[in-house]
Amino acid sequence: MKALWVWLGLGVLCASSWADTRTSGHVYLSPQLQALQDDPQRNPVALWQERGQGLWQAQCASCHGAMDSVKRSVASFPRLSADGKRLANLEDQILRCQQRGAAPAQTSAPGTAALESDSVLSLSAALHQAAKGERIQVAPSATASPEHAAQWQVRLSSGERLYQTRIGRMNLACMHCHDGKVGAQMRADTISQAHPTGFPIYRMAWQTLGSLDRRLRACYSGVQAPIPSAGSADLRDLELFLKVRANGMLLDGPSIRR
Amino acid sequence: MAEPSNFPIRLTVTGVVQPGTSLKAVLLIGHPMESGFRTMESGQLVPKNVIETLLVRLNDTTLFQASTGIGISANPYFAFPVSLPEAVPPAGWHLSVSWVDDKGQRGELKRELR
Repeated sequence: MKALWVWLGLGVLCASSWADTRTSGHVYLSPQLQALQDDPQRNPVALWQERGQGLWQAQCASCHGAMDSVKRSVASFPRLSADGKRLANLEDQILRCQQRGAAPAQTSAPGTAALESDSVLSLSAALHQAAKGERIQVAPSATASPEHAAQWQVRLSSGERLYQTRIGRMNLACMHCHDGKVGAQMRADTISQAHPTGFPIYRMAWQTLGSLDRRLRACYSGVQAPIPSAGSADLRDLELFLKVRANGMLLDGPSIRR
Repeated sequence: MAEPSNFPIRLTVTGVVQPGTSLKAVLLIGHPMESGFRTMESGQLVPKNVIETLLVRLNDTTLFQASTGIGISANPYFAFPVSLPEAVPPAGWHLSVSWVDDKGQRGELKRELR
């Protein structure tokens, strides 16, 4: 626990006084894709954003108020549930809100169809757009019990272990590319530092918007490892580790990726 | 966008609306444009679903009609000039966009040019 706080403190120090060498995935895009990102007339993400804003007004605003009032919260996901059993990212939380009242809370993983549905992605896109420029701030709740904080630490360690464990027929861990080969070419793509600042992403290969959950599953596919199911605990642990690794970085809003 | 009930359309028109001027219009349609060649995880083909006809009109005049097919990407993007005639119609100018896909689904948007 103590080590964590030292590490987080170091992260804040890095962000404030030392030169922060961490960069968003945006800088590894081709100039053409960067131009697409920066052109509001052409950027396809706007289709989801506008829909998400409409959904927010229709379904969420009566409880949550203006979208701006929750933007700090958007930058703090994934979060551990009060009972310490579920680690939920923003898409999980949106889905849970949508299902509240309609059906009893789900205990199993929700699956791709629900997590990657248009309404969940649209709301996620609109919320991340509202939270653009917020600093990622993922930490155990300040009022959490020691057991809760310890459980959070367990999930973080699990994510870190996943990041460092070799998997698949390629026998690669995340770190071998995203720490060791940053800037190198992998097929026609440039390897990024894997900081999750720009999600959800409109990925050209998918021709649609997708969440970090889907992107991580695509990584498992890339190294030819068994692909975990959508919403599985491993993916959330990994997301927690990546977000903590990016603590202090600014959210880019929903982004274009190759 | 996968849910058929709600295909978003974005139309952006830039330029000064005056008789005899030319405007730039940018059209973005939220449509999956499924080619029919992709397979699902089950191994079955994803059913083809593409926009077949796009019609853009300025008031009652057809600006262009496009026959689109499986060669167009998802969420298709069109950019085109709009030349305004010298005579101003009594009700002003309207740009209207409509598309039909191979499942018979359609989308429409009408925009007053001011």
